[in-house]
Amino acid sequence: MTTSPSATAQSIAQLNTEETIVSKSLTQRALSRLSRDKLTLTALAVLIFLTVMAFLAPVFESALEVSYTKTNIREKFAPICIPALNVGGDCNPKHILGTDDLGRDVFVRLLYAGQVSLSIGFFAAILSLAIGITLGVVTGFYGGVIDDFINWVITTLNSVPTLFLLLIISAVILRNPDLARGIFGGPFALIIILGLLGWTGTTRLVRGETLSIREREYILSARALGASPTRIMFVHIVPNVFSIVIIVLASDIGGLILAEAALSFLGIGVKVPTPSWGNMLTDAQTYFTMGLHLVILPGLLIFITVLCLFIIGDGLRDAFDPTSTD
Amino acid sequence: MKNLLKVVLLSALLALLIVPMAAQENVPAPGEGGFIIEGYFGGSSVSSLNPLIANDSASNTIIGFIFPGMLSIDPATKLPQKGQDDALIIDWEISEDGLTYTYTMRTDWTWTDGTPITSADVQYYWDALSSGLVQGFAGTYYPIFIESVTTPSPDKFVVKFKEASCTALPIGTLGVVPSHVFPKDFAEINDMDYNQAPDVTGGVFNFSEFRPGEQFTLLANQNYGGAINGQVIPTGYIYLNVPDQNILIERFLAGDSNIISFVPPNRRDDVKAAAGIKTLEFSPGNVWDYLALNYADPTNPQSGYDENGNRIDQGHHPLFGDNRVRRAVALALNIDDIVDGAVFGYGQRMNAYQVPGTWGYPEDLPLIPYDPAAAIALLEEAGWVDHDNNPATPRIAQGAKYAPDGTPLSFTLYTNQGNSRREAIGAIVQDQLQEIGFEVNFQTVDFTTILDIIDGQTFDAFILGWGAGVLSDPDPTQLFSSQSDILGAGSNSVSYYNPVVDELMAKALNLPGCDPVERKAIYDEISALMQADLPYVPLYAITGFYAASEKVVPWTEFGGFPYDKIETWYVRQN
Amino acid sequence: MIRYIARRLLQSIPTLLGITILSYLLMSFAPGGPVRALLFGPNTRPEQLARVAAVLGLNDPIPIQYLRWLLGDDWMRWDSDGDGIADGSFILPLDADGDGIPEPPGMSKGFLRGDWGKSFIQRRPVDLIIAERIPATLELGVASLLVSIVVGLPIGIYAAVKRGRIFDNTTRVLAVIFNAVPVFWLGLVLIIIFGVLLKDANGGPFLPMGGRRPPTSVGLPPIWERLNYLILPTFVLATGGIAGFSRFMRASMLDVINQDYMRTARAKGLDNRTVWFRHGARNALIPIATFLGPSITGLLGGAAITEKVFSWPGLGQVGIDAVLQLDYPIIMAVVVISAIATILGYLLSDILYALIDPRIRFD
Repeated sequence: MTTSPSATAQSIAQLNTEETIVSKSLTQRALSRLSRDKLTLTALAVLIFLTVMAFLAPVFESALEVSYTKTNIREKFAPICIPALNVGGDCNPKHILGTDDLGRDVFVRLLYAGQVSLSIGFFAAILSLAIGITLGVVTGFYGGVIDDFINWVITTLNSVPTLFLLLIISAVILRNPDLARGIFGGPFALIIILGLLGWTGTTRLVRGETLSIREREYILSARALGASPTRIMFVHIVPNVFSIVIIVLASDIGGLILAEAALSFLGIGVKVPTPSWGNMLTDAQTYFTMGLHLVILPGLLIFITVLCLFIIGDGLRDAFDPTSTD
Repeated sequence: MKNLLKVVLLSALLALLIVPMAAQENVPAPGEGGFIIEGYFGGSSVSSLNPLIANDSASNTIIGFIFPGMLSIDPATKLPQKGQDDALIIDWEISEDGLTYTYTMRTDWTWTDGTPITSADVQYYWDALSSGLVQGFAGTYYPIFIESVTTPSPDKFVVKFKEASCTALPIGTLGVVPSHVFPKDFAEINDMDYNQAPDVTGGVFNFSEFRPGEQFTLLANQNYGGAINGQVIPTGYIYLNVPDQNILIERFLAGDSNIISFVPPNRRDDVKAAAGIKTLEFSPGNVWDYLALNYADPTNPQSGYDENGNRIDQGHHPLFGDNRVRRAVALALNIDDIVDGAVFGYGQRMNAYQVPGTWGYPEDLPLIPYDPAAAIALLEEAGWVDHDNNPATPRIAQGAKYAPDGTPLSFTLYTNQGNSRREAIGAIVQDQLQEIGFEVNFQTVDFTTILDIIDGQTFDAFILGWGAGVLSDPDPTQLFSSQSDILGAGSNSVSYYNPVVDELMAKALNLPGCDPVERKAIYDEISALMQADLPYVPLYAITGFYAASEKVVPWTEFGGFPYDKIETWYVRQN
Repeated sequence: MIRYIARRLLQSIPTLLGITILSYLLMSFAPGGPVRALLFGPNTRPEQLARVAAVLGLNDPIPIQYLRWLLGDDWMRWDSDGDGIADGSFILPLDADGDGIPEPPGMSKGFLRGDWGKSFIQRRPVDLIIAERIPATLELGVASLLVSIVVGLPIGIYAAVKRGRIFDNTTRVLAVIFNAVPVFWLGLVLIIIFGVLLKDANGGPFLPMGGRRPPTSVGLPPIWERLNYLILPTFVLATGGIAGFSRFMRASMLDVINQDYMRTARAKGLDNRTVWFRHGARNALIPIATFLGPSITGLLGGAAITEKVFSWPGLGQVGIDAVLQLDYPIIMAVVVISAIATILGYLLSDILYALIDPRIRFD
């Protein structure tokens, strides 16, 4: 390829607009497809509803005059109570969804737990995505020793069942009260752990994509123009791999919420008294003969949330799938 | 005539009543009474069936069945008794100075291969343990107390202790292993096949099969030397591992197992209500929970004494260094609520540190009342004030004894994760102390971690429990003497130091003659002193609870003795 | 081919080494350590703690502990004249605690020489503990892998064929639902349904609520006599696999449908069934081979929870207990074994890939 610098610049500009046009039209097509995908839209609506509810927990707490930490043994295992719907009969209407084994309000507790579980899923997914994209782009772009090394790390990590890695690392970080306090406080430590373990898939995906992108003409031209590798990676490559990766985000979050629940079941999840759906479900299993709703509700919320996230992930994948026809 | 008719009718009626009863109570032939199946929840680790090595409760349960009992305990009085059929030791004598114990053994009890059990087997047990070559943990325990063991005759062994102590009798009984099949070189014991499949034993059951992660199967030993009438009725005993506690209970209720020795308090009502199940509740159970408050400065942890035995200044905890704050904590806790919330009412409140139902329990000592107003008054008196008149924010120090002015009345409370009982206590304590102006940062941490924190003495407060059985001696030296205040290991991690209590404990432990009545008087005195000092805020002891299928007869009558006379049990077939 | 396999196996050596170093380091940083929990009780004396730590070799620096695990310690401290007293040492001091008496000579040969050490908690050889558990784990793992494939693949193919129809949508939703249920919760619910609520003719549980065989059985009955014990755990463990395989197969099948050779085949006038199954499914299976490796890792991980819920005496349970109790030798063995299983799984995937797809050559 022998072209004059100006011609190259021109072609870059051209290519860039072309890229934008292509991606825009791709995005537009995806959006229009999404707008007709009722299942995905419903899932999205349910998820947004749950998230908003969770973050409105303090509002409900003061409106209902209940507390998610306040114990009241005399009111323990109160049933679900919605007089308007004639559910529960003679019960305390303050506790819409009843109370738990210590008389704490289940409704607001579920909302606070939702904050924790959703944040863990979301931030851990973002963290693993950030690591995954960075490492994927870097390895794909540079190749060589870096690529080999990261590949070795990935193979190593993938060769141990995630659950064992999670257990071992959690045992170290979550057991250490110095780490579990302060900046690593409570769920934050779990976010770090889950985020640090979940990036390998993304890295592989992004690396493959980067390998193909880096040979494209506009990257080659940018290189010829003397753009720094960092600039090329972050300005030219990252935006292009982003759309692929964003698709896996939703299902990642779902998977992470399930992982938190599994860790809680094994005794290394979010530590009580901080509530999470996972530890509420685990705790409630012990009491299922006294308050079945205590088992059903957190289980149902985990299930619905993860279901919504998986459906959204599926919907996005279908919508962004360039081979699928309308 | 009329009378005759009456007699005939009556006898017919009686016959009708008696015949089926007699038929029903037909005890099966020895070895045909069916399997006693006990479900247990204890993880899947099992150490060894060799008593020299075993160190987990599952293995020790099995060892209790396949090895002869050393000392007979009267289930009614809970005291050791002489001359009984069910134990090897039938008599003992204690020397004047309390250092030498001479035990006499039965001579007619044999191992399953026909070899008599003699004092040589005890001698081997001791020699192996004290050699330091056997990798079990028992070897690190007995030599602390025992100086030497000698065997003047096949039916006698003499144990010489390093110090006189009223708790020595059961420690001195040691144990037996079939020395005639054990190696001369003690190091070889570690890798014997015997450890997993003991073939020569002498208990009520013989080892049959170990299915790792599943169960132990034991079969009746018809040559059991301790059997009543020389018979062992049940076919065998199966110890079934169920790693999830809920499923353990569900499987018991569904008939997968037919006896169970520990039912978590929250499932006890279900088990009691279930059809075809009989239960036994008793006190004391096996655990008592407490809230421990640190006396010493947690930022500069120190042992109680230096190498030369001089007291070290351990500083004072900014909050709990002051006895008034400790009392305020005790008064502000509604322990009845805690018993209700944590163990669903299946607990007995404690007035100090002795477990209700044991002989050392001070019946006359009143419980600490629930009195939040008095607690607030004490805090005010101790210089902890509600400076902003906002009950939601913690009080701050203003002229407090050990805290600079402005220090918030705030502390960290630890308990171990995964124990829903203690997690409940923590949440309630946090809540109730907040009412009188504390800020409690309640954290659950992993078990090995909390032990690390406790041993390091860097905590403010923690909730934990101690095991206690019916046989526990009231001696609390290990928990509360200042000698046990050792950084890194000692159990007096709260750094409790009361010279009077120290002296009384030593006196009660080494009382010549060890008369229980005299000892109890001293322990009552100690309890009263400690209720005032409050190294622990006493909470409750969980009541014991056994359950069995009604098909298992006659079953046990005694709390603390889950397998009492198991050789007479059988499972009804119907 | 053989050269390729050999190279892959050689390449996995540094991976395995890395895994062991990583795991050992991580474990050693966990605070507390295993000794205190082992000896927890009011009567525990400091001397006991120290002695047990010495017996377990936990007093030595972490790198030496790792070396001892890997290579043994018979070369670190030895007894050359056979009198039972150590008289030479390397790395380790002869008399570590300074009491004037040499420490006992090293006895362990290390992992690489086949000595996997003894469990801290169980005091039994680790290889024995592992060997006892592998059959149960294999049984459950193979059963659920088979169920996943046998159920998952046909669903995937049929869903692709009937794309957009009721069957496709139902199975897609079901697959998502299967993925979205926490395994332990599903296990508990199934146990309550089939053990507590449903009864068999004799009033016993409809399906066993746990375990691998009847407690009173003699020995291990053949597998067909205890299939009822396998049903629930297999189903629970296979849910993820069924969902995964069916989704993967559907996607792969849809890819294939649009290929030229499919159109050619149809154009040649072959009937639908031949086209779908001879041409379509066979080619769609190629990517499935790559799914095999990861699903083995997934099974091992998932098995741990399933085993706990169903009292299944497998390796996963041992692994979880070991991590929670910091039983280093068992953790190390479980980690290495699962790593080897996974590496072999990936290798198998690649070999299958080559066997199914003639275009692929190894060099």
